[in-house]
Amino acid sequence: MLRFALTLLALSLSGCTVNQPALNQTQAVARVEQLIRDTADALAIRPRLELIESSVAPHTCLNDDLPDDMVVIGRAYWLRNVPKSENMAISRQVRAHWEAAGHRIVAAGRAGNPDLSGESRPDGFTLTLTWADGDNLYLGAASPCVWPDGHPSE
Amino acid sequence: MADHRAALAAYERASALAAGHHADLDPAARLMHAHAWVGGGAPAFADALSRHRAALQSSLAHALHALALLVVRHGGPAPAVPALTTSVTTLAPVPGRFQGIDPNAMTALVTSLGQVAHTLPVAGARLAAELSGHGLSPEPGHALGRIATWTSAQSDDLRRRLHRIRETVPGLSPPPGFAASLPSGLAAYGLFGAHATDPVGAERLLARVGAGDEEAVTRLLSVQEGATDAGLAARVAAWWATLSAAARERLVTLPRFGLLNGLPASVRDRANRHWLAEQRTRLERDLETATTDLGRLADPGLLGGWERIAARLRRLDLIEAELHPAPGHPAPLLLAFDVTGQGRLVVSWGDPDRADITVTSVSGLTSGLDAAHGDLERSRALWQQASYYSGIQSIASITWLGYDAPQLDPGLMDPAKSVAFASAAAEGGKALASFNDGLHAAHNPSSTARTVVIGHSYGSLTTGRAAVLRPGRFADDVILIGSPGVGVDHARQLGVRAEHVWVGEAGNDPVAALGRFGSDPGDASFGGRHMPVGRDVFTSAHSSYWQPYSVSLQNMGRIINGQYDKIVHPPPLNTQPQLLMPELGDSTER
Repeated sequence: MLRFALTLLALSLSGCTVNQPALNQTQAVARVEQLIRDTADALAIRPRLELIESSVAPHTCLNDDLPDDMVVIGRAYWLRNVPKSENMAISRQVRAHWEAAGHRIVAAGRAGNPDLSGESRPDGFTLTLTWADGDNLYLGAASPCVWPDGHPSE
Repeated sequence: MADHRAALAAYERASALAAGHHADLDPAARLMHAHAWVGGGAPAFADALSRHRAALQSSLAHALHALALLVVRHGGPAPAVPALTTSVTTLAPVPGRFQGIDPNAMTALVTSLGQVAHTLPVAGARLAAELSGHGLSPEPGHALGRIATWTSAQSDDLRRRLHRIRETVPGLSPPPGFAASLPSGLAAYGLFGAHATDPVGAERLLARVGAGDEEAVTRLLSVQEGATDAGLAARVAAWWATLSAAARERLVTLPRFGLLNGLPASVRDRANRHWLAEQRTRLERDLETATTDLGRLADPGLLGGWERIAARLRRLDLIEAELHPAPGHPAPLLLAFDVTGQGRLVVSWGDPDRADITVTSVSGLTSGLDAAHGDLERSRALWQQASYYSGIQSIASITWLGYDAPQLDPGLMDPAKSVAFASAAAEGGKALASFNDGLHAAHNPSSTARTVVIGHSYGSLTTGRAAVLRPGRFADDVILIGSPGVGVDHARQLGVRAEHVWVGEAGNDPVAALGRFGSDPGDASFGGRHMPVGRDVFTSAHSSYWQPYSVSLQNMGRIINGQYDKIVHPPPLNTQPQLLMPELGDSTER
């Protein structure tokens, strides 16, 4: 019972998150774009970035401990005009770039899988390089939960 | 000498009859042996066919033995009576969850039975005449006649049913070069319906529903909630498939009709939206009356009634708002809703009847209609992530808020509602199992389609309760996220192969740490597979699994697509051996 009570307490207190980003939606979009384009620019073979349309719409902040009217801003782009045989090389280059930029590698695919997940530092944006059916790669980034106007609505 | 020759001649004529007819029912029996897996009435019919086949062969053998004995009695040499038993063993197929059957095989079955029904009576009469002509009992010949009569009745019934199915179900007579597939449920309860047991009286209730009886819909829904008849949804699907277009048109306007599992998703959506509009009209009228009464009578006691109506209208508003198409996503289908009580809402992004992969998300603590927005967002996020990976395969992602999930409210300690007790999950598990039956029953036949169920938090317990009700048939993969336990001590007890039970939890997830409903799924002894979710700060751990592009969402997308080798793993925090805190070592090894 004690553990259950502690859990409930933790859940109820979890809204008091520290270090909430003060970005607004526009700034978050700019940061997402910057993270993706900086990564693409670091590749030996410069890809053409093709926006994945369904990635554009803001997502509701899915953290139960944060207000519903916060949003997550994301973008994903297919990497076009790069040889599919280069997928693993691209993965190594992305990893090197993220690490050089001070970002954290959160997860990676195992042998032969170019997938990478990262987290930007210091602002905690989610980063991804992902393989999809057809031997295609995309780069994606998403913000932490932000207020659309940068602050709670009145 | 003359007597012995006559007896021998009779034996030889009977022997020729036996050689020509002892395997008459073998082709039909072989076909049924290969298709009995469809369930419903098929296994019972296969058994009955097997019994009649055995009776045919034993009757012929009995006649030959009697005539052989007669030859000996009359001083002739004992004829060698041939063995008349045959084997119909076929390589039993391992059907997929959405597998259909070849309608041409069923046509062949009907044709084969029809031929036997035509030729066997003649053989029976001739055999009876041979036997009685020599003073022997004609019973074996009469037995053949009875078998022929049974075969004829089956042939006629199956031909009539198959004709009806071919008339009403599109796509069963494709152009040359295209394969047709008969849904297994339609075979089980449509074609072999005469042999299907009906423990809950569903056939009678469906007949009443067909006549527009609203009370029969309510009773069927009650049976459905209990999940006692695993074939109910397939029976509903078969019933719907063979209704006339006019009858279907009439039925979609019946209140609560769209809640029946087994109906096509598009039909459910249409019926539910119609019912929603009707409810709005009625509730708005009721609210107007209640408002007038409140003003006229100035009785504060009426306020509760007014508020109840207003609350239901707000819920209708909420549902309608959520049904707006989201950019870049398929149009949502309203599979079920209820604005009374704690409320219900089941919505699918993508058509689950046509999808190559269907994923159903089951939420837990504090979930429900009033807080549906986040759950719908999660399903959309899953659809998006899984679709990124799936290439040409289509995905349907379903939000299933189909039970009274425990709420953080003053009723927390009420055993019927509290997260601390399993009763809500037990009831929810029945409803989920039944809903899942419907997804299978209504799906277009497919040998490759997959189904995945994701249980989050307390919803994983509900998922576990449902899985054990349908062992081997529940899902291809089950993903348990932030689970406090699933009601069993080992993954294989869920009735899903243990290597397809995935457990994802952030190391600091407080709900996952509860682990009080059976063994902790995160423990190695549970036997599930670890799904890496990344490491998150404490305060967001329990709710961060669906963050766009997060490790957890990506890995759920991989599992949904069956791309198990593409799961990403966190690097070890420290590659050195961790003696005091082994959890900081390489989690990929766990």
